Amino acid sequence: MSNLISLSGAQSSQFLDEEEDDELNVEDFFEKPDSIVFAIDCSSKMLVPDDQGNIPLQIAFQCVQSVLLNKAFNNRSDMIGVLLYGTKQAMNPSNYDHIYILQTLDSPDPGRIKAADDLAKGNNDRFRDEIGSSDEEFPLGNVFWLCSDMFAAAFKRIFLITNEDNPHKDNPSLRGSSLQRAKDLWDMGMRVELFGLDQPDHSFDYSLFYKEMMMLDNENDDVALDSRISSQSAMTGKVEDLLNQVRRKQASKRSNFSIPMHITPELSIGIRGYSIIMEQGRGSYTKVTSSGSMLQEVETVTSYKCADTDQFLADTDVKYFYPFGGKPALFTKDEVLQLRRFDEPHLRILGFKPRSSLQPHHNIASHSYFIYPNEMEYEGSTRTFAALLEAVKDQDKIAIAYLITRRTSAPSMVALLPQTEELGADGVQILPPGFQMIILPYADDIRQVPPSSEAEVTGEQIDALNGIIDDLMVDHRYDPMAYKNPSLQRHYSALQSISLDEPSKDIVDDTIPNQDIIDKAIACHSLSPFQ
Amino acid sequence: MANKKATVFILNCGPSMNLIYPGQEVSAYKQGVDVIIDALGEKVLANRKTDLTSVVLSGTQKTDNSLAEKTEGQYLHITSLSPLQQPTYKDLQMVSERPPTAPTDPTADIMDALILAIDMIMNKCKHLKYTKQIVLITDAAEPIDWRDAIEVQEMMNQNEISLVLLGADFDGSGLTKMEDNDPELTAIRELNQKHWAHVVTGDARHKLIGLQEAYTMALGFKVKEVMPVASYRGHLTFSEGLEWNVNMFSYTKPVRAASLKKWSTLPDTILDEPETSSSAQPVTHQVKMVRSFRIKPKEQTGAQEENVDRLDDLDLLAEAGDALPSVDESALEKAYPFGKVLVMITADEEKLLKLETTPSMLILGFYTAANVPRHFYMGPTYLLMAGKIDATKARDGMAALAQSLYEKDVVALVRFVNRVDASPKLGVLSPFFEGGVRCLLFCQVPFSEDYRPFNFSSLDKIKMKSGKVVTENHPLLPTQDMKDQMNQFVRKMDLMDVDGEEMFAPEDNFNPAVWRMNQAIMARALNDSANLPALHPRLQSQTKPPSALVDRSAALIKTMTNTFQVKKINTDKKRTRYGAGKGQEESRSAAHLQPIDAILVQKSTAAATEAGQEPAKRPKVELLSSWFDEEDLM
Repeated sequence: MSNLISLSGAQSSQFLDEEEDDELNVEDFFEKPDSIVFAIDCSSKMLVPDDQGNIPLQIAFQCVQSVLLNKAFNNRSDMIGVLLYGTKQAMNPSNYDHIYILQTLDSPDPGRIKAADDLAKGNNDRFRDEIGSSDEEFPLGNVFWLCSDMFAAAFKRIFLITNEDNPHKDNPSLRGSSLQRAKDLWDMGMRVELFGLDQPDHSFDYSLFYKEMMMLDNENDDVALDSRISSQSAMTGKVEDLLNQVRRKQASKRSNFSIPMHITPELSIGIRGYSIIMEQGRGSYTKVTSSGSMLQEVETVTSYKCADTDQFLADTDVKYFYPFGGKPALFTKDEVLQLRRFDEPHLRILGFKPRSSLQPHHNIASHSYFIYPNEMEYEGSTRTFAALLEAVKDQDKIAIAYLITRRTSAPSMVALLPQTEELGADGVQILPPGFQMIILPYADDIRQVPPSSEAEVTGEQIDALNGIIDDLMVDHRYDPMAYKNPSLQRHYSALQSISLDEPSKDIVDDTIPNQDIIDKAIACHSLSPFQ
Repeated sequence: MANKKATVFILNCGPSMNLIYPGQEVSAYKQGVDVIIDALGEKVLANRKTDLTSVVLSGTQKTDNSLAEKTEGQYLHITSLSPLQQPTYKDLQMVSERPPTAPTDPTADIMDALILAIDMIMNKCKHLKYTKQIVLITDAAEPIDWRDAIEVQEMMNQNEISLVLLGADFDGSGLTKMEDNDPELTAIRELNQKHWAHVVTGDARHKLIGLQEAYTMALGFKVKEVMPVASYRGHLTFSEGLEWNVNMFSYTKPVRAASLKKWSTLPDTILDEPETSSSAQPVTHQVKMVRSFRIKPKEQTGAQEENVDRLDDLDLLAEAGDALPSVDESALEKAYPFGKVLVMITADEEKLLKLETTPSMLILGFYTAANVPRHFYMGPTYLLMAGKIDATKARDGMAALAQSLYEKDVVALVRFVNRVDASPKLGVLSPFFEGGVRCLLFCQVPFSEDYRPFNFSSLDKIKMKSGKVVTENHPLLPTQDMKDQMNQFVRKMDLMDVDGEEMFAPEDNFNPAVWRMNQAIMARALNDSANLPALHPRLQSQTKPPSALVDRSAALIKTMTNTFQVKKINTDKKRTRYGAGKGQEESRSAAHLQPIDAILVQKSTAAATEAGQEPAKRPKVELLSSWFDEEDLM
């Protein structure tokens, strides 16, 4: 009997989950840790304020602090490192000059966040005393070498923050070796995200050095460049934009599913689905037990017992039933799986409809998905996808499709909305090209409209409301970045202060309406039609 | 909250019900049986304790009903299968297994059955609040004693019982359609139908529906009605002077397939021994969940990445885990992860983590509908309707707002808190019109934390290494032929007019997971060895484009296959590239990473050797894959 206990404990995962969620499960995909090394230029140029008074280095530390905080709550297993270069002091395992490893690659913790916070706030004692700034020339390649040395995890990215667009301009040998080192990084699967900053009198010029560095393939000249470069176009060079730009990059681009898309019965391509939108929760707590000052994480072991015999159950001892009016309808585990399984994962186009047929209430899933071609499964996917996207867009239509993302997931009916690429005035990509995929409700999911009597609306009411609406119109696209979730902010901030034993700070709630403006707008219009 | 219901089904079992009417495949009796099974089956599945039913058969050999017991010699040949109660599978079985009436069977007066049904309902419901309904399935071919009709009608009206008459071969006005040679029968039919029509029109609650129509509906897919329950009662606020009392109701909400419970098979095998099986203890087959707590094995603790590659070691871990001390539930405390560390939180501190909020819906501003992209809509939708306080003002005000939003093609951005201390959500309100109702529809939109705007390469132009931008003549860009054919394809596969009808409107699509599971449950409950049902043809039709469209595009589809020349890539090759990635990388990194000085030396002779060092040209697949993105590690 005793080994049965351990068996059932070990096998509990083989029992079917009663409450299996039909929503697409994305958890699995986010378990692979990401790692980012910030490589921050500390030479004196980085200390020169821009015309807004922003000191680039200080903003760079703000970026570190922001990413550390974000990862601390959202991707605990992701790792961050901070390497400073162009420093007076040196601290690194190879004893290279002018490179100072401020934080080795590790998961964020409260101490590191506080350290970054201090530097970001310009509490510069530590910087002045221990690190310092230097303008002496040293091989930039050493920076890349040390960065590569710091990495261990699956996803490796270097966030390079500098306003020097032409390192080693008078030293071709160092320049060449730095480029070579950067190529090595690429070959090892590391990716450089360059955040080039303008200097007060000089815009960051990619063509001088970094363009070459980012074009690493030794293939012939006609090879297309990949998104390494296009992502650079997302930079504005403005110091004040740096924080936002780093935030946009902090989540690594991982897809939720990679499946075939059947366009005609004979024409299939590869696609990937991404969650560009996904509700970020507070995260659940972990059970711990404290013995003395030691905290230990506790896990829950769930096992099942037969109520009649009081014996532990293995999954082979269990069937599944639904109580149907006093009679159990019994199924074996295989049968239940069979009932849950519909087809191999795929997305199949069923046809096309006018865009206007998609109503606001045709929404059910917790978020939409972004669909982009995947050349790796089917060669020719990109051109075919591009042709489809353009045709659907040109005819102002949407595609209706049938979707199964995983072998055990229930099928959904979806609408594919074409989205053409949109670039801002500064060349920053605002919307990527691809289909936005909306999961449609089934008839089963649409409730009846509760009964209500017919309203009597007057022209005066409409006029008054039209006026108020005009006064309160926001004249740009809704920007999620403008609204932080106040509950999350509160949670983060309180947890931070508890862990660092600091007094708790108030948070700013971006979602509270600007009542002054609203009251003023309303005061301009008579409310008597509504009394 | 609970909406109590009492429903009595009366099925006329008289011999005339065995008639198969023109254009029908089964007898009126069989249609009646199926209608009852469908209705009962749905109720049994839903398992609502307050939804009571009974089935009364009129025209049975025997007599078994509560009124006949009291008044001897009356209410003959009427059988109530059960008292008014929550239906069980037995009711279904009794109805489905009862053989059709033989021509020699007696007939009963269906009016007696109706009186019995009213009596059963009133005995059970007394003056409590129930939705009371009698569903009466009959033809009109047998003589009926209409003398009590007025009294019966009054009893129903007074007690707010609605009568749904499913008439076999009644037409809408209650007159016969059947060409009959028997003048006597025709006279009976006409008289009966006239009377029934009179009864049904006697109260707005009553309905007359053709049995055939009801039968078709029972066989088809239909949406279950759900009692609307307000998920928020509060105000929609512009400012102090302008706010309306509102109730919020779910409008779209995912219906999940019935969830199954665990059933222990151990009693079947172990308790088979004679002495135990004779014991009085009834076998339940129930499964108890046993929860215990133990210190998490070190390998799994915290923010290490190790557990990713450790699937193979799962057994080992479990074994190691057993050696770890178990923890008593009372010793458990809460900790929230903060990066690498866990921060233990006391009950007092827990309050600090939560934002205090009060229920409200506040308008922040307005956006043109196009300025809130559709893909920002998150989750199910809700209807905002007038609440109870100042109901008329709220109804009219919100209707005016809906009208105004509609005319200007605008949506409102709101901050919404549905209960005390709930997290605020941002959402948009759009106008919603149905029938005469004008109200607002709420749907959530993302916060900055919910938004990850990834960049993707352009699809209509390619930046070449030389810096040149090309928009044509590239394997990754479509040719004009491709564009033309795809355009034609999109035009041909138009779902708005497939034999005159729109296909795949959400309101017409049914959830295969839900329906197949329900079908399987019902089949298994009534027959232990029933096979799993095949997917219903209607659900099957949702998985493929309509064949009419595919057929008329057949030639184009062929041409497109040739034009686009898409080739499936051998995935085994890919596996090698990724699966082996880790090990390869390490060896590569070791080989590649020489100290910087070594590179400097190398570079000094670079000009001479560079060409020679170039690796052999990679096959095209790999080239494209490296061309694409970094997330391909999954």
